[in-house]
Amino acid sequence: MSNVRKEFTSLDRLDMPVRWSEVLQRTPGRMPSPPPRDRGLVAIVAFGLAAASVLLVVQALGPRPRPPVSTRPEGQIAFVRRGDVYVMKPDGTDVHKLAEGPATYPTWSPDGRLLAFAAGEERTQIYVVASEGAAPRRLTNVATPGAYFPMWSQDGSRIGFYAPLQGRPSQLGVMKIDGGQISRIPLPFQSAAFATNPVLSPDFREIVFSMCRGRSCAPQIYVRATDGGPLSQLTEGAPATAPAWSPSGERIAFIRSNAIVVMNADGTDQNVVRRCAPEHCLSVNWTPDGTELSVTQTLANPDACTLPPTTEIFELCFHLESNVYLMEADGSKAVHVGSGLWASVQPLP
Amino acid sequence: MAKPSSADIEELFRSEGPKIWRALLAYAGDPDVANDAVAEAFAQALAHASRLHSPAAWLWRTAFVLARAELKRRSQVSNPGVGARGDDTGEANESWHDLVAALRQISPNQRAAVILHDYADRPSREIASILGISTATVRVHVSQGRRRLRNLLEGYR
Repeated sequence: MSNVRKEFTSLDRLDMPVRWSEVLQRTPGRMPSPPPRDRGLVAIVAFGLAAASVLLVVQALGPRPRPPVSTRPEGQIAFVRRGDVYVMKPDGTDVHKLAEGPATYPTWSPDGRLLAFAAGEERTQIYVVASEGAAPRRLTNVATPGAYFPMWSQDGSRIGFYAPLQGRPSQLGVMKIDGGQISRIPLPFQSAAFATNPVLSPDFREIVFSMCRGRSCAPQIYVRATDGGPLSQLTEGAPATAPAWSPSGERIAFIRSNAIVVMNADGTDQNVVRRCAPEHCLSVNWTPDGTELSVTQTLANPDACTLPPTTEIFELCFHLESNVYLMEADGSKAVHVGSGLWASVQPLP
Repeated sequence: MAKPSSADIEELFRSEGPKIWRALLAYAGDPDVANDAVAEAFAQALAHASRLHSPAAWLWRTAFVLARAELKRRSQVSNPGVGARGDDTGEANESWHDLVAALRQISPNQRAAVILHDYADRPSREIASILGISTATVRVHVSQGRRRLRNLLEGYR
């Protein structure tokens, strides 16, 4: 019986004809890009396949989830590396694995004690794990392809998530983290609708999220009561993403046209409070007293995250350097308060 | 890890490039595909060097993804299959021809899994990322691919 590894040694006699000078003279992109995974995944989702693919679809075509950059008070940053969940200090030291993957979108609880993430191969579910390390606890048991984009309520008692179900309208889910009680909020569009960043209002009565419909995705901000009722579209026009409730529940901040916009919770009185250029807006959050906004920006274009190959999406995104600014709710008195990495980390007050 | 410089990418071209190229040749069976994928992957790495965390892994993935895309495009255009065009290397009738001929008879995923695992020594998780499958499936592909490859190579002797 021949040894396969030994057979491969026959290749080592071959000389590569490609020269470095050819690489230097080459314009990247001459070769056709890798398979159009984004379109392929849209089809996959449309036909209800492959749970893990959903995240990439939404990353590529849907309202881009805006994983903010921040650190826990103790300084830990959570991120995904090659599918597993890691934490590290802001200076990049003390990197250690907190949970096995394949996982996506780790988000810290507001008090920094728990990390929620979506994980699983056949069916992706929401898990939480203690910041000091322990066996992750599964919170959801959602039908294929599973649950995505866990977002904490401001008091840390509940988590909102997105469930793109096979053959049925997608749903937003809300659950208590002490186990059980999941509210399901069906979305009205049966196919090609992707929702991200589902964030509960402070009184838990409403959930705000970014959603796009169809292939020509221009995500907008929607809100819906957690006990059902009509869906309200709060924005229109240019794509709007990354909504964040103010602690009072009276206002919502979001990103549109590379600017931070603040509006009333009913969608009225929309005002641009900050333009991120020449950097790019990544996320916006409110401070606990609701008087200030925390805005994360990066010099690199986050759209670079869709550069081929798309399998690199997380690795590329993670290494985008970013800057965090704090400012008054009207955008004034902005100060640079730190730098970080674009990891899938929930900011803390 | 410090971000790689252009010099680092060039060093990787000299240290890893030939192995990537040979793996792609074994996978695609076509020197043109291997040449183009290697050149393109390194050109992209140069363009995006400041964003690469693990440039070697990135290059392996990018080169294979590009080669797979090219093979897929060609199959859509003319459906030629994977052709072992050994003559282009000037080394006709070498033993590697048997290897490539055997490899072309196993499924593309098995072929890629065996090459990346047994020749390139890439970790299973990385192979899973390249092929878009789970690590468990990678192990199955490696096991089944090895078995088929051994049987095929026995038949050539």
